Amino acid sequence: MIRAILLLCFVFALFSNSAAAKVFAPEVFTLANGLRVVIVRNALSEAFAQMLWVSAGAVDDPEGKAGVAHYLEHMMFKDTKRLEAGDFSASIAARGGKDNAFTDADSTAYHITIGTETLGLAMALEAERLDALLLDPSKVETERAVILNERRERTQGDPAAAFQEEFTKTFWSGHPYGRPIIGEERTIKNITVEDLQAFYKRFYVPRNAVLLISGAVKTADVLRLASGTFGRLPSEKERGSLALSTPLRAPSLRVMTMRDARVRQPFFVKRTLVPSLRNNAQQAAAFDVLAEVLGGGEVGILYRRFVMEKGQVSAIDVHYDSVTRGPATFSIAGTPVPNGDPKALARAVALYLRALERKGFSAADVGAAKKRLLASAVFVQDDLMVPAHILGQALANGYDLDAVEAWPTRIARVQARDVATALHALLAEGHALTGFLLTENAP
Amino acid sequence: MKFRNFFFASLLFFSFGHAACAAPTIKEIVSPSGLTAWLVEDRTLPLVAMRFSFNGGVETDAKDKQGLASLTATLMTQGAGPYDAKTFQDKLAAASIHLGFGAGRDFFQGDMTFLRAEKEEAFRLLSLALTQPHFSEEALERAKNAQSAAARFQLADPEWQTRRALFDFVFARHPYGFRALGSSKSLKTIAREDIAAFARQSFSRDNVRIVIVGAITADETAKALDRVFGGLPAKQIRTEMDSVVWPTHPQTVCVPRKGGQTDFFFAAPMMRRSDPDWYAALVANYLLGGGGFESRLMHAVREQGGMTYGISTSLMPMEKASMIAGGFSVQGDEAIKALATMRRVWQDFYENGATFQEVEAAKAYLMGAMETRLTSRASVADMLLDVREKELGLDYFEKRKKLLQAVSADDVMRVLSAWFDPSRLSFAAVGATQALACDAVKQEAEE
Repeated sequence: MIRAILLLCFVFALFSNSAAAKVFAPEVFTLANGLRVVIVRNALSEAFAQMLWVSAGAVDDPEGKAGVAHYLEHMMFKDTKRLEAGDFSASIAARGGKDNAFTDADSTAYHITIGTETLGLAMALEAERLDALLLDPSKVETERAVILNERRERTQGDPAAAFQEEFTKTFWSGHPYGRPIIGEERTIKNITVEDLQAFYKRFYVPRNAVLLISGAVKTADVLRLASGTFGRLPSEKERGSLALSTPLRAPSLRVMTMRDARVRQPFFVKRTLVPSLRNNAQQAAAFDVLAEVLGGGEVGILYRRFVMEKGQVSAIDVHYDSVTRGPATFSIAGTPVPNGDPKALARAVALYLRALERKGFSAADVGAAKKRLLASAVFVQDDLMVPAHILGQALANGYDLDAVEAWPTRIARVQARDVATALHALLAEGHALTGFLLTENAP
Repeated sequence: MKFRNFFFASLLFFSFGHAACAAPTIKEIVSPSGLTAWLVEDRTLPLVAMRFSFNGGVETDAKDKQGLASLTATLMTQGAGPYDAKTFQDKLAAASIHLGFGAGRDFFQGDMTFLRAEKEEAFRLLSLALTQPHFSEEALERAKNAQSAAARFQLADPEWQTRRALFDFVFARHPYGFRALGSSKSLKTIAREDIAAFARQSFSRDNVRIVIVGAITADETAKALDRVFGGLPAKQIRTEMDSVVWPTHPQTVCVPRKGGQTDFFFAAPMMRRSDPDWYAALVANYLLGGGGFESRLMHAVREQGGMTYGISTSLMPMEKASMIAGGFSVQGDEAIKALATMRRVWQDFYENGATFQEVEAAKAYLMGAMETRLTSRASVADMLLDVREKELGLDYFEKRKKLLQAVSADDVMRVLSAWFDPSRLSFAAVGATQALACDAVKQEAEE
């Protein structure tokens, strides 16, 4: 039944050259049509996980049509040349599997978790919709109502979600990263079948995608099945640069305040533009360590100071993601104690960070943070999907394997003075925004 | 389900997927003092995932001290033995030991994940946490602040408000209706003595169940059990709780709320977990609303009607009650249409049952899905703890396969008639409720 497999050649690229500690030690291959295939070993599980990452996300939505990438993700579960709408998920479910997808600003990922002996089926299904999606106009219409419901459910009920959307828009000041991934009501209503088709044709090509398989699989089986399914897809030209060319503009405000009658617990967040892994890999590692020193659970400096010592804060959260296509950001969020003033709290945190900038960091604190980060590279392997997610995101966003595999080496190299330099850069950066979500009658 | 191309039809099954043996190899370990643990050894990562639980969770709080069990869970890692909160946390972090506790319904759970190299330190610190917790005033104050903030975030979440409104009705006279995090008011009344009393009454050797998965041997496990739990009192001091008595007449409770969609949450009584028909009920639930896109409710309300982003049902078996529950969120002016669709689909299923094909597809999913839930030390440990809490036995995985395989369309019809009558459903609706047929109108939970 299966046609004779066409002659294929792979580029075999096994990354094993980084001297120091690795993380997942994956095998990577590239098919003739440009699709990268990544295999991550997981000896414990009898099930396997499959992810297909496409290097296209909300940031690639056409102007005025925010939501195309996400809308297309929904439509990928509908009719293709060989499948009727619903067949994809039904086929997976028939073998006890689960499937879903998500759209980010940078990229889109489709994932399946399913038991043994179904590797061929999972790949055949995924290759089919990468190749031959149909986009039936009446189904596009029904899905519009579903997406509008999803948007309302996510952003209209809870004031924190509406705040998040407004804060992101203001921070990015017209840059595509400021768009809501799901789109706005107005733009969702304007998306046409042609918009979806154009996006699919331009970005959903093998050269623009990465396939990841995580499980107790045999390399030979994966390659044989990959060439028999994805390998038959024609070679299309690359999407072009992954870089985001829109110039950055600092937000016009330094502070954004939102009040809402439904808010019962106010909080603040400060977000700052910082180097991504692409901008400067070693500096990004210093920011990783800074985030851990400041916000590492209950042993982070900010927790110790503001939750334990001062009793001003109920919870503090520090976040930094370096593996982005475009610029990266560093966020600090704090929830004051009941009846505490979030504005006073934000001021206190800012003052404290200035003092830290003058004082510097102790070798002990930095050493402890590094140790925790390096240990996390072991814990993160106790999952079927997470390694595929981490590797998939890096590769889809234009990074190579070393972005992930050499991470422990970069972390090990970070010194206390590097962390101080990172803090200095954070505080000196002008592209920053502080946001407050307050109760209706707050001053 | 139709396929346009034979290629796919042939890949799919009329052989409904024989699931490969997904049962982990479980050893029952007995310590010198008689404590037992279920062990699954795996040396492929130098990691160990441990889970344990005691009887009694959120529902043991007193009515005016709601939030007590959850506070206790937070305080378990805030100082023990010779170490104050800061030092205890430093010691855990220095050895990369992840230790946490949580109070759920019916059980108070602990989980600890650690590197094999740090196992002695992990067991030492856990033993201190269980037998010599400080429960200091300072830590209590901190925990109250954090829990109070979390409770307030919940108040702004319409989904939480909907569940709360329904539980306030169906569990009006039972502690299952307590709020896990409590309220700012109830938290104020909780004192250090209350926390200490909870710990004293709950943690004992006769009611703990332990599972451990990863790079650890049977011998090491046996020694660790006595080390960690040996210092606990022998017996738990707890009074038995009554079973839930369901309201005689189902109701629709409405909570008007501005801004956003209208959220629904519904529930009806269900058979107990130990009922021999349980797997037939599981199949029925999968087909009705548990099977995601494969379910009748999702197909009618989302796929065909475009009325919601998601609608689902699930079986919720508990110690003192059992129910089927579910929910969905719709635009205000579509609520009546969505409700009518949901009721029509449910009624049709209740009266006419499922086809042979549907039942076999549900069984294929449920059997195959077990494999996809056993994919890490953490997920295996979580599953085994659940099996122990529900007293399903060491041979659970084999038994489950056999019992599922035996379910027929007739079994499903019988179970539908006995347990799936939609007129027994109670509803809570939060949002634009003016146009709905409400039996009661309540305010949002405020504090």
